[in-house]
Amino acid sequence: MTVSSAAPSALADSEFLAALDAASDAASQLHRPDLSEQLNLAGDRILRPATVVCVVGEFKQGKSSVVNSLLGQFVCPTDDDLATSAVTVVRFGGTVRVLVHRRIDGHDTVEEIAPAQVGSLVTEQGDPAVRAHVERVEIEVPNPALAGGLVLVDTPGVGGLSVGQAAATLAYLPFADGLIFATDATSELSAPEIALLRTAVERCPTALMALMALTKVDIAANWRRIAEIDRNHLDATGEKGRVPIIPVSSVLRQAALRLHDAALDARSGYPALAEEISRRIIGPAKKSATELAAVEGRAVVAQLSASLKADLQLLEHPEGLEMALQDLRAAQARLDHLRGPGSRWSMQLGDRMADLGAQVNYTFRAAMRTASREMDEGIESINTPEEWDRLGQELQTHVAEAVAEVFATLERGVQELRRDLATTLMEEAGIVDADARPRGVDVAALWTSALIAEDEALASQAAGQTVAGLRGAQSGLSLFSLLGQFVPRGAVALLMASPLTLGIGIAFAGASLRDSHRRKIALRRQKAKAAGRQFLDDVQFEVGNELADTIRVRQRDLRDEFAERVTNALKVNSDAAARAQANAQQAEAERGRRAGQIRAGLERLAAIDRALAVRDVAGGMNSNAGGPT
Amino acid sequence: MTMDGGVVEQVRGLLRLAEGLIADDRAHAELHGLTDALDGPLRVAFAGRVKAGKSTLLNALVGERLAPTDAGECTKVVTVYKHARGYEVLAVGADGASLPLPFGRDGGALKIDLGECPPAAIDHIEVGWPSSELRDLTLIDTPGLASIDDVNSRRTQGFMAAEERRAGGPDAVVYLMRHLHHTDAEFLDAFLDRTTGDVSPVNAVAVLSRADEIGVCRLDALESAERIAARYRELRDLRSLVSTVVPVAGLLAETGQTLREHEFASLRSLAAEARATLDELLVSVDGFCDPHYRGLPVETRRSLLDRLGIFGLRLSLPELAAGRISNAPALAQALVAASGLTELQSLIRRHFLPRAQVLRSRSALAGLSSLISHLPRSDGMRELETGIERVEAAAHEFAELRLAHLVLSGTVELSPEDAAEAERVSIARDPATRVGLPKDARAETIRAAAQNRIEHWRTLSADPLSDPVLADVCEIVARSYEAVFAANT
Repeated sequence: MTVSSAAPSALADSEFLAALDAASDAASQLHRPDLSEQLNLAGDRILRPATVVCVVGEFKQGKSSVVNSLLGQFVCPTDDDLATSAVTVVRFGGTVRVLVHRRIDGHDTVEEIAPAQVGSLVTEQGDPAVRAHVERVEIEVPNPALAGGLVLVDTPGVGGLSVGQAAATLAYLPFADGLIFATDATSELSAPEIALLRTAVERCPTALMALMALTKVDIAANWRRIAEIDRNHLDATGEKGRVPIIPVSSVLRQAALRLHDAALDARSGYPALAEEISRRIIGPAKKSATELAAVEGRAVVAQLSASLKADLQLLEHPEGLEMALQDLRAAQARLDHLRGPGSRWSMQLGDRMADLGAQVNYTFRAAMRTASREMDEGIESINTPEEWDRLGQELQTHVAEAVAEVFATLERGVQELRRDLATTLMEEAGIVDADARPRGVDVAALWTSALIAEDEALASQAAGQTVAGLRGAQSGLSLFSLLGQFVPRGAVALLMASPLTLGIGIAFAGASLRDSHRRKIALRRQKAKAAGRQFLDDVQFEVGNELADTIRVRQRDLRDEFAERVTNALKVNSDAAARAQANAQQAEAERGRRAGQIRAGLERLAAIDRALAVRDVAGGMNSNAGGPT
Repeated sequence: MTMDGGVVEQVRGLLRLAEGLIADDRAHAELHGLTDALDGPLRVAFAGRVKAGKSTLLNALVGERLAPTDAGECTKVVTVYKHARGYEVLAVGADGASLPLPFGRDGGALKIDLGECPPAAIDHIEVGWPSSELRDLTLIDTPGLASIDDVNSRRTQGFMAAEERRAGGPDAVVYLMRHLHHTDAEFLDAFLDRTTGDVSPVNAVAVLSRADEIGVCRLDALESAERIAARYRELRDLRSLVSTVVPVAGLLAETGQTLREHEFASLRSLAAEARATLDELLVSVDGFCDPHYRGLPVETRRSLLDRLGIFGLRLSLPELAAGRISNAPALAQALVAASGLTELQSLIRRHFLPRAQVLRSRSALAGLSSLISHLPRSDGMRELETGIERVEAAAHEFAELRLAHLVLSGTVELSPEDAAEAERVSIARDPATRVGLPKDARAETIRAAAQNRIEHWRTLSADPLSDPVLADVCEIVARSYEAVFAANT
């Protein structure tokens, strides 16, 4: 039972990992497989912190080529004309696999398709019917660049004629750990690009690192001048503008890889870009994963040591057995109290989730009402089909933002609740949770790719503990909502539709040049309002369902998680009691031998603790294991 | 016999009337401007986002490097290039006053010294140049849209805005875009005034500019650009705004039109290198200027790169190396041919110039309207307004313009044959051409054909199932034919 054996990164401290490994072994030897598993996952997080890097930018700036060049392999389709039209998530997998996530009539479907068909799904080529309802496409490739946990997300360009896509793309951004903004070197940043960059950076957390990839430097004669001009534009936007600019050329990269020419590769700029990603995005991710693992590891060690010390105490002073057993029985009683639906934590969970549900629902309905009012006001003042299209797009954007906000609020509430429940357990029964830090969201888990059938879904709930364990890679992510799971499935299918397919544009189609018939205009406005309301109703229906599902699932997750903690605590307790009695019955010589073993164990734990403490910047919440008294 | 002495004369009459009725000096100056514009060449404006290639394309059409082009955003003031017997540059202020500016040529390009004149005070700059290309067309360069320096973009929008029509507004627009972006569509839409149809497919074309870069300067870039342009032609969003989309590699065109002997000499010396060396040089822009290569100074190569772009070099050098091109004029010709400039020129000839008089009349009327709206109300003003309305409503040429707009934008549903016929009718000046007959056809033949077509279109217009816009269109075509009929009686 070792920590995952993925390729070790240069940043991982191998001594630290060895200590973590040892702690995990100790835990399983001491019959605490739960703690062992926890530490294994912590180690996993260090070696493969799930880091999601989104590539954004206006369309036709070379985003898909950036992804391909970083990977050194053609994964995302590129074309002179047609642009990427669906979010494409690329991550590591043992074999090449392509999964398409669709949402049709409220049902999620996941379909595996042949890699050759990716183009027709992800770009504007081919049959729009095939592309309909595609919410995202996931591509797994056995690419070494991704083996360290990196996930690359290619997004549809912002600024094409379908502005609704921008809303969807921006809705994904809060999950990113890193952002690459792609702009090409043949002309300077335009006002829309700067606005986009600003929005993108603002949508992402403070811990986010943004990089700017200046693409196509192989054909831009003045790329250095452009870089200078862009630098000035960026700096002028203020603090958030201090984004590093890295000139790259996908054409050179391709040539360099084909010819195995390292000098050419360096000129392509991609090694520098990869280095920046590693330094600014993956590095910090590993660092916080390491720190978190240090805290967890030391807490586990502390627990193990405490339990060993208790055993030692009884071995050396067997007369204390009765009192010890009494204590254990009392603890047992308290724990029993915590089982069952009548327990305090269980009721707390139920009540708080109900409150949370009511709150987010209310917030969402209020936002929809506002959107509806604004739409009505807007409609009264427009005259042309194009103005309506724009209004339709604004409506879509506002709705996307409202939906994002709602799910973010929900997730924050759930995390808060989780902390409070842990406190309750602590107060009620002294259950100390080694993993008391708020669990962040494993961003990569947001894009989980399993072909989940209903019963598999249940099975993966059980395995969900593993997924949950992978969370917390960066503590700063704890606020992130599961938006990635739900907005795409829910409203985005609606949000990404063009205003025309919403039936809104049709209301104004065919307006003649000299149409001054007021009655006709009034009629058209009515139609437009009706179409807009229909859209809002649809969104509310979809999102309402999703919210209800989410709340149900989160509640179930929390209940399972805490029930397990209680069960665990009970087991630990009864094991301790059993051990105490068994030890007491041993012959003196045997007891002495056992005591010696325990002391040795305590020393080893102390050594492990010292090794882990090196990375524990928080100062350690539990005292160290200490040697035998 | 042509048929549109009509509207031009009517507009001229209105302008004369206005002159008599208006006392204001500044208004008078504007009126003169309007009258000049009515009789002058067609005014074609180049618009588009920053760095779309407007100035470069303008230079290619003029055949001289007049408009400055540069890596960063360049054109900051609306600049009008018109034909003149001598060379002169004027800064025209918002009040109509003009101030001559000193200027020179810098490496072939025109360099204007704004001196103490603050850009904010300048409404536009007028460059008079004795170029034959400017006899039929006055070309107007505008600051790019979606500029980070909003002032510049707003200038263009102000200049083009239908409501702000002053003497000097464009009669037609060439809109440049590198790929279709929503700000392009927004802009085109913003100055498409639907109630008067000021700018429409009738007088706007789109250019897919910097076409070589669209295909990342691969050798097949221009074919790729053509395919993209073809796709854009079918887009609903564009069809209602411009009549067609053509791909042009502006830099190739500009350089082809202005190629110098010494530049050709430098290229030829490069072409003499071994194939492998050339391939190395052409890998990338940095590769081309690699200091390790000693055959040609870095500075010379830099300026070749600026003039041709890496695509132009990839196109030219192999041709020179293979001996298929052996002198400067041949190279110049090849560059222009490859660039797509010729297609654009013929488009302007076919599409804009035949309508020049009508378009100018319309611009003049719009300018007059706007002028009047800024003056104090009086009987004279009301009389002018009535006059304007009458001309706008009655002039059949305007109806034909509207017809062309409706057909080109796809707003009305016509069969392809009918649509082509309607467009032909709206643009042809010659009666024989109007009815689809050769120019030397006899009057009786023309009459008979006209009668036949009148019946066809009247029937269509009377169809109770057709929507009112279609009926309107058919009516206009019928009336056009009636005019032919009457003229050949």
